[in-house]
Amino acid sequence: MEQYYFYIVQGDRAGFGIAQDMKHRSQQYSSHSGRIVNFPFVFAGHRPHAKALERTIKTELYDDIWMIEDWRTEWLNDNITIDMLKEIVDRLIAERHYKVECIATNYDFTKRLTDSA
Amino acid sequence: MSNWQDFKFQVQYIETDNLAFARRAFASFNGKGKKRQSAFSRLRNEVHVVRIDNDTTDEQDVAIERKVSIVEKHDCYPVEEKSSLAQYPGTFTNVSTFRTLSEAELEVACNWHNTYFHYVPLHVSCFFMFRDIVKTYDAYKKDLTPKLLEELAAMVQGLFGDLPQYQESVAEAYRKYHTTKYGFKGNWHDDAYAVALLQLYKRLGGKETIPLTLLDRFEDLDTYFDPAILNIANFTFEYQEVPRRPNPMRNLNELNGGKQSVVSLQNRIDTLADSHKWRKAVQRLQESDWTFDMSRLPKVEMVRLGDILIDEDIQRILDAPHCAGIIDGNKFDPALLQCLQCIKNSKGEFISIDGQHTASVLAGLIVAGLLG
Repeated sequence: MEQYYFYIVQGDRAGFGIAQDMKHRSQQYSSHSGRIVNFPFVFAGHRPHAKALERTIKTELYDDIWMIEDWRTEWLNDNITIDMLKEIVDRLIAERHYKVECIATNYDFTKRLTDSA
Repeated sequence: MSNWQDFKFQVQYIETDNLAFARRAFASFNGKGKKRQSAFSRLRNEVHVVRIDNDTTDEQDVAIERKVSIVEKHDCYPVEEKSSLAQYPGTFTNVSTFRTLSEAELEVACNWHNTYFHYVPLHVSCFFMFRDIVKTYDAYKKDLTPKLLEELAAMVQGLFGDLPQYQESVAEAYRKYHTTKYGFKGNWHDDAYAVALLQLYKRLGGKETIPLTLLDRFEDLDTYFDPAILNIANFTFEYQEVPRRPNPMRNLNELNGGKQSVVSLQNRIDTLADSHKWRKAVQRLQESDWTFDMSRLPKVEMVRLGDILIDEDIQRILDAPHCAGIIDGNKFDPALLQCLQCIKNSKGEFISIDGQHTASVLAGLIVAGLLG
């Protein structure tokens, strides 16, 4: 089955998103920010569940989404750390039975996903 | 009162000979650039009339309050679009679709949501699906079994995660289906929600009886779902429990007794000050040469109905059935009449911009001997 990814990303703040091609997504972040961007946690699994997980995070953390003027970004306010976000993601996966699991830590495009496990 | 011409009524007017102003004002009074009452706001007023004011004289208000009671019984709550409350479990914003469901359809839809998806907002596809399914089973004279309801929930949970994701997946399947079958992207049909899920149910080996009329529309739509779904082998139709937590909406529900809050305009000024868009708009005005021209403020005067003229190029033609509707059924209440809107030209004539139906109803009632 084709994998789909949900990731937690470390910028100036904690962020999250979904991708079909993790290496390409990692390159995009690095290209935009001018440095190698670290993905502390990468999850993979059933495509619809990865998307549902991302949507759920947006709802669960509705009040903690970092907003620029009226634009809701995919970054979180300073009070939400990477570890807190990981805890929320783990809880949601367990409680809502999403078929996705953590497959890599501290990933960036210079590494292979399997090497970051 | 025997002479309608002499009856005086409130007129708000601007002194001008500019008919272009009158035409634009007519568009403005009739909706252009105006914030319309939202579907939720209308619903809230209807429910509050029954719940807060204990007024059950309007059958429609009573009927809609009963529907709201049904959904609330299942921990489901209508809320305003874009409201921060829409993040909470059981909330829904599509009030227009909610209105189209019968009490029986709402009962099944909301019970299903609250039994299996009590942890997320209620997605509108739930209304569309169960409106079709309940109607069809009713005509089919068969019971919608608890087993089928649970197996459908197991599918939504196991294959898609939740209904918003089902909606995204079925819309994607429908696009592929339509393009393949007809050669172009067709408009979405809401009845595809139920049909696609039930086709998928049968494809994955579901054993409960499904009326053919729910399966033979959009032929083979199920085959266009994402391979990630179609390639799942030996699907078990087992719903997995999700922990239930207290729903904050039980205390936040705006329809349950209202907010009981009356605020001054200062509250609204503070809200504006918090709005980025408002601050930007103010800044643009400050940086321009615009000034508030006090002489342009409208004036209000009591004017004889006989002195009001109607420019037929500006106002619509009189809608007599609409006027009849205004006074129909002993519901006509003079307290609800609004000021007439006019321009007063340099000849001293009052040209109606908005309110010709109000003025005509008043004059008509006088002629009929029903006023004074």
